[in-house]
Amino acid sequence: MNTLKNFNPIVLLIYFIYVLFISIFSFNPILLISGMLGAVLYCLVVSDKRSLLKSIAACIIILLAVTITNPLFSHNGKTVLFFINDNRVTLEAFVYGAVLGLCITEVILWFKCFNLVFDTERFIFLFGKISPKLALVLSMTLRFIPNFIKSFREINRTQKLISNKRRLKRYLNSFSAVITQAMENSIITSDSMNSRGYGSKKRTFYSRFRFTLSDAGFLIITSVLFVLSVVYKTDFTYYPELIFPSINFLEALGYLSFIILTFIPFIYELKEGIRWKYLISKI
Amino acid sequence: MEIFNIENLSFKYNKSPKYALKNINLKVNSGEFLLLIGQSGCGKTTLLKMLKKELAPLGEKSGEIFYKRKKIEDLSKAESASEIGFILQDPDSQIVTDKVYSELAFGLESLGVDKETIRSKTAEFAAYFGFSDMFDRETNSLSGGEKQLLNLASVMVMNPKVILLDEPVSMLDPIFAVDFIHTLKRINDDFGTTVIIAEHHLSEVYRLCDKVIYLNNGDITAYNSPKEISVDLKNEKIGKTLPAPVRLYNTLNSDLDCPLSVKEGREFLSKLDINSNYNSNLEIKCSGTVLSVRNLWFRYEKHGRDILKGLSLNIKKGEIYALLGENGCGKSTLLNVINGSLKAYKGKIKHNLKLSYLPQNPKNVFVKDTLEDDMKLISNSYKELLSEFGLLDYLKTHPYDLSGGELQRAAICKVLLTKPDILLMDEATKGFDNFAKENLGRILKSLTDRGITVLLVTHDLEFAASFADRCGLLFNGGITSEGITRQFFRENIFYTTSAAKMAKEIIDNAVTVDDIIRCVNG
Repeated sequence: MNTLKNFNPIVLLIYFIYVLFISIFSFNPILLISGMLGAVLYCLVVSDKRSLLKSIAACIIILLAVTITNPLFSHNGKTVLFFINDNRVTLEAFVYGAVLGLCITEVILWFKCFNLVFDTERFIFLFGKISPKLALVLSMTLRFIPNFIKSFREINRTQKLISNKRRLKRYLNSFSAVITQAMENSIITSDSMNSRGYGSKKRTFYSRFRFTLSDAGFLIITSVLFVLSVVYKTDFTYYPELIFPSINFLEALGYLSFIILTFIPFIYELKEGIRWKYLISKI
Repeated sequence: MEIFNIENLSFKYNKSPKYALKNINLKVNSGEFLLLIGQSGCGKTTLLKMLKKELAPLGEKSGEIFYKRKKIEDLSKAESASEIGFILQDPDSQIVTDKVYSELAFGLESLGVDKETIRSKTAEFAAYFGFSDMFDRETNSLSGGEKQLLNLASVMVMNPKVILLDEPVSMLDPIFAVDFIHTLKRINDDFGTTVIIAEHHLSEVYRLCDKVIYLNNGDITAYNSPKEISVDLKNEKIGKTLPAPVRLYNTLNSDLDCPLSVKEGREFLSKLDINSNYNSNLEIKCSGTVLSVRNLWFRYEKHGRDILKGLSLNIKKGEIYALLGENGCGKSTLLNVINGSLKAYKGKIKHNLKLSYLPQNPKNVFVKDTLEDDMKLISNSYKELLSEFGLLDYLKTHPYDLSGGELQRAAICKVLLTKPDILLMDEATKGFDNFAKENLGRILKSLTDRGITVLLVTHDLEFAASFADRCGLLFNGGITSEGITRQFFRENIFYTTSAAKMAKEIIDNAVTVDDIIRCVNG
């Protein structure tokens, strides 16, 4: 179940921009870890466990790789741990590397969430808001590509049975044939478009999405949380010395806002799940 | 009220020496259901396209076409788009967008209609055409029949006053074709939409239409109601392509009323003096198995469903075996398993001869820019074969420029160059008119004379009844019934030719119109 999808794509896009913006520019390990947790929990609810495990494994590898390689190239920092080839390896560089790794993996995980929410229909909707023609081109492309691949396979299969040409030669022949066929078909498509009035008036764009009250609510809540977490952000210093700033009430509010912001998809999904179970139990 | 008025219309294509349409005069009343018939190249498509401003071909035109008393050239683009709908032959290439709902919305979007109106119109017509459950499906995932229905729906969304259709069902399998024609009739009845359809698959549309127009060499040779025109077409070549009951009536010179449906055909037969048994020999000349398939199991994905479930099949030397079955029952899959493109996970295929394969789309056989280059890919001794198939004039032609029948012949030629002993054919008659079909049937017969065995997959029952030696029905992953063609069609009730349906329990053993005629006394 993926109920987050039911929000208007524009509202969702803004939400993803909020999260990624703070993640990338804050460079704050606490925020990054909270972001990762939020993304993982959301994926856990809506996607299959296997692909999530794969992503997590990939993320751990990236995280380790960046943490280890950063000190090899960056020799800043006060706390020297040891020397390699007369080069200093510092604690600060390790920590910076780890945070950089967190940042990269967090962005990867959020893009995974983004993919779970934004299917082609939602993409086309976003483009349609910019230009209806652009949306049409995108939609036609999405139809064309699988068709093209399918007919290439069919032609190639037939050629394999009939002709005894070598593989490369056969691929080239089949490829040129599929292009010719595609061009022939495009004449029919353009006839069909013309006969349905393409270009007769300024195109409008139809999508099934509306902007509802709950979209407005979602937008307002996420925007407030975003503003709070930007205004009351805490800056970490890594070089030349690690400085973790102390946290008072307002900074805590900033942290809390971002944590809530990143957990929203998970919380929302959980809430809908519980509501569903509750409704079932009443029947 | 008249909706189209065609006055002295003549038309000549720019490069062609002869007229495609000659002095056509026709009045079409609002709400009429018109059927245009005629051989390929008689000008059906040209006439239909002339009625639709955006698609009108380039060339020399004289005479006028009026739409609601207005010259067709004076219609605005938006007016022509919304009032006159057009459906083309190829169900697939007509679709523009990737999703069913966006395809339905395409026309209205082009006309600049606002979002809320589009929302309600698409919903309404999705419900009318039964697309509610498929509303967010990918258009690529639809079957051919569903695609053509979608094309019709996306035209109907604009609420046209006329729909023009150019051979809309020739690429569909028979069940979908019948469905489509009935939907068209329903639209005509429900909304009073005028329908003008060019088609050569006449079994249903002929009896449902109001008037038939017969075009011969760009000329309206006959124009009448289906019952009346039957007699006029009796001595024309086109007469052979009319529905079975009409053909029967025309051959018999009866003064009774002309039957159009199977039901009327049965009544007609019962009034005649007939032998109740058609003596036919049920022996087959072929012997010796050349291809045997034992207990074949196949599925596309590891956890998918089985497409073939323990299928067994024996093909005998020198026969034409027609494998019938509805869409998606695994006929094409079976051919691909036999030819080695797909691997069965269980079962045996035994043959020690050379197999060759002709795909559903004969275009896929060709990869070069001229027929000659393509033939040379296989062998250099192609001239003799091409002349035998009457294709020597087309050596320098691009294969895609050949007509459907010529293309199929050329494809057979190319495949024959590989010197096969067994020929596998997938839906060989798709998009063919009856003349092209008969031609193909004769070619197949001549192949068997050379000792080539043909296994063909088809949903064309009439074709199988006329040319196959044996037939089998593929259902639920196995061959459920099989037999010598005559016996096969005699025993089936639904899966049989209309002639057999008419003759059932009246004449034993008759499965074609010719069989019935031989049993009529006097």
